[in-house]
Amino acid sequence: MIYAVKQVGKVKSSINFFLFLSYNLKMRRELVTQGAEGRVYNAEWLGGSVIIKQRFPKQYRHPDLDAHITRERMKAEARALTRCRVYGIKTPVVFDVDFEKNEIILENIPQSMTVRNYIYEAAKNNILMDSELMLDLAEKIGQVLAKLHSNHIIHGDLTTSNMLLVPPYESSDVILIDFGLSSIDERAEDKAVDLYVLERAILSTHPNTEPFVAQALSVYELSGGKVAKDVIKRLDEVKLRGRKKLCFG
Amino acid sequence: MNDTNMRKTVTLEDEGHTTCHVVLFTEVENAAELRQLIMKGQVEASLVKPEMVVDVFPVVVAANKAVRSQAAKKMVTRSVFSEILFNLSPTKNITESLKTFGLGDSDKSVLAVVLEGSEEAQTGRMEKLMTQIKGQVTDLIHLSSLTDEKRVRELYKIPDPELTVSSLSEAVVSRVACKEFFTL
Repeated sequence: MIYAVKQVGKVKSSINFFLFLSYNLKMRRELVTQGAEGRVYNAEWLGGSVIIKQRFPKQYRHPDLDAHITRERMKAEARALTRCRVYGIKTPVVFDVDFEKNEIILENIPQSMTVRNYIYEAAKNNILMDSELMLDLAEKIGQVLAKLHSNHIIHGDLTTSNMLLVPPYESSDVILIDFGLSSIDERAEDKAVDLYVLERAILSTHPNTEPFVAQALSVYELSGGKVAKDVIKRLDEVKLRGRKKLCFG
Repeated sequence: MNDTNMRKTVTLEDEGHTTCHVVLFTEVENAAELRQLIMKGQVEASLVKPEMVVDVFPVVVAANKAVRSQAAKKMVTRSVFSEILFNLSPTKNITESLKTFGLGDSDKSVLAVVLEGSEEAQTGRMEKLMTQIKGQVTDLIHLSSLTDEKRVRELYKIPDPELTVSSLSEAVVSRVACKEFFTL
């Protein structure tokens, strides 16, 4: 079947400029965070509430290289988010990937709270880090990461800020976000580094979380099969030397 | 006519604020004739097979992408209307995409997508389409009863674990969004 309808797409550049101006003024965007890689907005998109992740050009990189890197990272991020859902891991839905504006449009998860803030709140309310409530959360984290790694998805930036909970928080699944540094890899090394980054992040962000981390890792090992055992073994080596591999020369 | 259910209207995210209308026609009598008109380039709308659509939202997302590709002169197909069908399809094969998602000769229902931009040439498209399609405008609530869920799941390769964290509509939207670089 051939759809041969004449194209209607010639826009006069002068009109174009004013349209662009009014478009920017009309955009309802609210900055949520700004990082080194880009900005995150709360916005209206196709009539609904969404999160927009916009990457901006790096001035210190050659423009061609920069465009290429940005494109590849956007693809990797959208791919990992979508792949997670296929395997039953909760992540925001990818609504759109706009290579013209370098934006990824994501589902806005209402009333979500980061695990980081959840733990802070708990600490404020004198809930101990080795209480059942906290160890339950650690267990859920261990399980979701085992599932992630058994499907060879490396998150790349596991922190308690990149995990969300939704009400009722106590019984919420752990939702993983920010796959901007993610990759697909089968090697135990990369998975171990993923866990190492998380362990360092938790211990340095939240005091007295040694039992919490231990619980997450032991659940990870138990529910992830042989692959997870190899990763945990590898984690001990990584801990001795740090995140970077030792090199010769 | 109750505008909320008989017609879904969304403003797209392009610089020209194109308006996208989605209308469901049932008891369509002239599908074969419509296909001839489409091939002659006389239908200024995208006519989608409702069996392949789980929800209006993925269609609007596909339309938004099509309008963006058109503005950037990066369309894969020959018109913005066929581009919508192509965007909805998980394959990169154009003929196959149009065959699977486009209107068939013996179809009795049609999901029509009409785009109205600010240009004069694009006004009155909906009125024109209404005279071309011999069928009943039907509440969009009935779309789900026309959907062939089994076929949709097979085509987009949506496994059981995914549906524990996702609606069918969300599963389809994410595949439409990631089409160019996502394969299972």
